[in-house]
Amino acid sequence: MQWKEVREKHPDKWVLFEALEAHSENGKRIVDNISILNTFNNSNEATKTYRKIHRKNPHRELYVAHTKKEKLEIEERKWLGIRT
Amino acid sequence: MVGDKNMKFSIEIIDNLPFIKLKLHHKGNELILPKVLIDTGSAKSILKEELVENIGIQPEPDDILGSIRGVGGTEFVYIKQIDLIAIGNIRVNKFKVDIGEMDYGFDINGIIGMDFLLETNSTIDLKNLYIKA
Repeated sequence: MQWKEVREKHPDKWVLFEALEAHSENGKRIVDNISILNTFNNSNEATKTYRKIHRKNPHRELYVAHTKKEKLEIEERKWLGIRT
Repeated sequence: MVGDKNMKFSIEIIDNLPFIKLKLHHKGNELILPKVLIDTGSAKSILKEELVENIGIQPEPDDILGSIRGVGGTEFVYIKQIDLIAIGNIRVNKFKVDIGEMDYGFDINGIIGMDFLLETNSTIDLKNLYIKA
């Protein structure tokens, strides 16, 4: 699903979704295919659920965003990690 | 935005890593975050979501999102402009910082990266264990 469709189906909601397909372009992450995990009325519930799922599956590319946003704008960071 | 000259703020070494105490002001609230890592290997700073929630920092519809990807998986962050962020008197107003889960398997509440250190012209003194600007 594209972000446009997500917005049409779930107006004025917080959405927890997985990027099934995505690519990187000029320091931005572009999500090409979205799978919705859940929708919420407030951001707290959305981030709480995100944490729960992310802790079990840290490699799944999950996001929380509000459908008020016309365009998904995602800045990309690369992380090599802290070494202890 | 540099603080008063010659003010020094202590660094604590834990597991061979340098930590400081960070002060945040946002929308009239204040929060002290202990155990914040100083990391010259990190371009951007990040703060732990579960703690900054306490002073009303939370996702808002218009926030720009971020994706941190690398060893160990991928992490979603959102980017917030904090009214003031400070190590003692070394402070920056309207500082843009990533807010994320930071579930890295050890006790850490934030990372101060090169964005803050360059902006404040900070000096890290590892002999005497302080940071100054």
